[in-house]
Amino acid sequence: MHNKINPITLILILFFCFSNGKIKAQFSGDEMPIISTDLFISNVTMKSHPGADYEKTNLLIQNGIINQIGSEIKAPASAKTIDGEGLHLYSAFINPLSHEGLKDEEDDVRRSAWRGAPGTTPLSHAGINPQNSIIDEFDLNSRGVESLHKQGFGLIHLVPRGFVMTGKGTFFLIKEKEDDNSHVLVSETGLFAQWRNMARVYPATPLATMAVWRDLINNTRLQLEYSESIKQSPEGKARLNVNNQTLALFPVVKKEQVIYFNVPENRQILRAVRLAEELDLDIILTNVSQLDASILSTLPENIQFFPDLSWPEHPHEEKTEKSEKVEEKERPNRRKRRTAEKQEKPEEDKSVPVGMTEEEHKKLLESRTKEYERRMNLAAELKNRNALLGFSMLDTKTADLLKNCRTLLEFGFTADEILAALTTDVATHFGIDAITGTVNEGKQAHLVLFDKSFTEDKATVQYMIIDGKLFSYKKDEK
Amino acid sequence: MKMTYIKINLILLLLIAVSSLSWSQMETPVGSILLKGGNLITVSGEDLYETDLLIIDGIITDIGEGLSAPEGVEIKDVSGKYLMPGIVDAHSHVGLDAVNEMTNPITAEVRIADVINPYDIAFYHALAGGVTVSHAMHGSANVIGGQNQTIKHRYGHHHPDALIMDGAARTIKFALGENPIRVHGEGFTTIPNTRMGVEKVIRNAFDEALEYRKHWEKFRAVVDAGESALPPQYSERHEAILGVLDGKILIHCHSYRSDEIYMLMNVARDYDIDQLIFQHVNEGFKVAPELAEFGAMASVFSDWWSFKFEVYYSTAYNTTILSQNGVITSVNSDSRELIRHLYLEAAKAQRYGQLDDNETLRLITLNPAIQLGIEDRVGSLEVGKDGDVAIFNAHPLSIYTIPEYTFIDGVKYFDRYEDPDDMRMVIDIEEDLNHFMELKSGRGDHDCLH
Repeated sequence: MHNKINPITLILILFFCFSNGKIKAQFSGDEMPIISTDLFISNVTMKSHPGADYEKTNLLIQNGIINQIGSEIKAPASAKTIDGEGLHLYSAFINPLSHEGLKDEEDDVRRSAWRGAPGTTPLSHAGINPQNSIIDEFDLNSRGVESLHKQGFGLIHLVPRGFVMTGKGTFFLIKEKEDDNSHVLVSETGLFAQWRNMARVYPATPLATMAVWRDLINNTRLQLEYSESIKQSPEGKARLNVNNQTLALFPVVKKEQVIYFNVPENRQILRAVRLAEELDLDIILTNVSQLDASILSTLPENIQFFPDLSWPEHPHEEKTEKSEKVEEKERPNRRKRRTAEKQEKPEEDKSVPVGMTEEEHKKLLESRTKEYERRMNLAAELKNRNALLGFSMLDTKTADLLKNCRTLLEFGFTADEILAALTTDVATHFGIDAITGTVNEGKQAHLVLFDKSFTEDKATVQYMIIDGKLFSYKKDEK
Repeated sequence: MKMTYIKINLILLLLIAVSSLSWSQMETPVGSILLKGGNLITVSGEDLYETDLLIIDGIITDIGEGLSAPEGVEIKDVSGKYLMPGIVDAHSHVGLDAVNEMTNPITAEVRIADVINPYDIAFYHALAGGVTVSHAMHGSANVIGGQNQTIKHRYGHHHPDALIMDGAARTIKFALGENPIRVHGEGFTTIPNTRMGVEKVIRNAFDEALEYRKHWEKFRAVVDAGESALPPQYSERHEAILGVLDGKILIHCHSYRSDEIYMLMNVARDYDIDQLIFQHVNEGFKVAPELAEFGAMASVFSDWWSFKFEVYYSTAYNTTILSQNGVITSVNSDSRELIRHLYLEAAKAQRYGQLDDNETLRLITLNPAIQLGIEDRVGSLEVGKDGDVAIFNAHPLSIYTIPEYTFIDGVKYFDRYEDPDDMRMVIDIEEDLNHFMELKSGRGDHDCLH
């Protein structure tokens, strides 16, 4: 008997050996199927939630979920292992309010400029677009993703740019856009509104903006009631045509969605609160940087805030014993306001300005310093009132996010309180605390690993894990 | 069905409440003080020399000689000084974040009360000139502008509502003539492009509001009968204009030419509006008897004219001619600069027309108070009125006079001898120190267009 292998059989065997499984796949293009997405992080110093102690432990992540946590667990053979020795692990930070990656609205304004009489402007041309969604507009490229990851952020609540009512916010995972929208966590959060008017169209001033709000909400309420009566009993009732703007306002009027109001200053806050009280709306005050104590005391007790995370420059101080001591430590972190023009700032001129006496100059610096301290202590004041939800990052440069958070340590915040404002408090507000915000078994794997405690100066992100996918920023791994 | 009927009625009630809202009643400080031995210019009656004035909890409670102060009440010696009612400016744009919503010839729906800026340093300057109350107005870009707000100059409070004068009459700004024609006709190629168009805009606005009311009355009748109907569009604009037609909102109308002044009186008669207050009224002297016959009032410049064509034909005797024809006349500033010396503006009516002291001072006290519907509260020194007092070192109509103290509700808001250099309420941390001026603290005079 011949022990000869059939050549055709041999060819087939060889083909299967060297084909790398290509023959099996239903995969697109040249993509190699991933054998395993398991991640095992060993010996990492973990803070599971604000207030918890740091503990050294291991984590196993499978299918994008934190499957096991414990110092005894072992890495399965399929898992990629990360040596967490010396690293600090937290739940990935959540940016609660940002325009990051969204295109500037100026192009839209030019394109859709209304040519008719300004008083006949359709609301959509005047920047009143509650129906706008940014799901399709999300376009964080890899650099944008990296810059946010390197600040510790893994999730982001984006709100549209625009004028009076810009549209609805959306919660995204910070990773590049996926065709299946798996980067979208919550498609519609709430309405974003601000006191920003387009020139030469109605409404051009806060005067008319207030009136537009009153008209819109009152009419929405009437239409909502009528449409609900049609649902109950449609017989004999005229059909109601509801436009997209009104439809988008239905959940706002029903208080199923809040309004995130961009209100940096006292008077803007009060206008927003006035509308909320008159029109029975739920509002969150965001981006606040000016809020006098006498006004805070008049606001509704349960009102909540996302104050501005961008800080002013410290006023020039006269050399005193106290300020010398401050310099000996490390000067508080400072940053220029995002709205300031980028230009070379001349060296600080310590001489008294023309027309001012030394005494006046001294008084002015004192009052500026007082104002600076009031501004810097605003967030702590809101925290103590249980009114702080987190921080608005609308006007803060991405590169300054972590640094500005650390500044809070000097103005009434503990590290745990900062962590809460970046994780649990925000997650609870947006209703995603069941899936993220803390590091617990069963939660989605959105995690950040720093090379030291995140509140230490120069702490840097080594890894970011989003949906169980690893992003490495460790220098020697590049 | 029943629930929906109840809900619709609740919404309608809410709409009515919102549209007729008179502003929030914030508690503001009131003071008590005994002002001893001053020369009181009461305006409503005789001048009283070396007389005391007692204010308790913000209200004038006694005027007379030899008054004593209750325990704990400050006593201030004002002997030799002249006390007059706090000055009332019936036309001002001080302290506003926006003056003109100039995108439509009709913007009756907008409310100046929404945009008050309590940080405007011009409030303090006005207090330094004895002005305690002003009529914060919409500008004159539109034929029918926005709803104005009478305010007290309680400078030092951060909350804008602290400046609202609760209980003041609701007023609205109208404007005739070149301003709306230029802004809308020439600027946006919309009506009005002529004075004919200005009249048409007003009549159209009134007619449309009345039509709007009919739709709502029909709708309410259906709902009241327990049936369901498609609700009409709610409109803040039409609601405000209905307030005008019902006499709940007084018209204060910017106007210069006699023909347009006369036109508005005719329109008002056609729509049963019986109260009109004209602002500026430079040619008012030409139709003074007609104004008096209608019962219209006038708030004028002392001597501004020739700054545009419709203001060429004017006279400094306008104030006197109107007054002597029985038109309740006031002198206003319409300027953050003139408001600082309204007492001198009023005094010009003595140079041009020989009004006596009392008639002259009425131009800036009781007469503007009447025009703003607050004469029961301010405008004269009388028991029961608000403790708004301006104190001068000499007679207010003397060229040498200097205002020294200004009180609102019995609280001292200006003291010439305790007057810090920097009275700004908010400090801009990043302002360039070499530009030590109030760059952002107030708006310019040109915003209102005049």
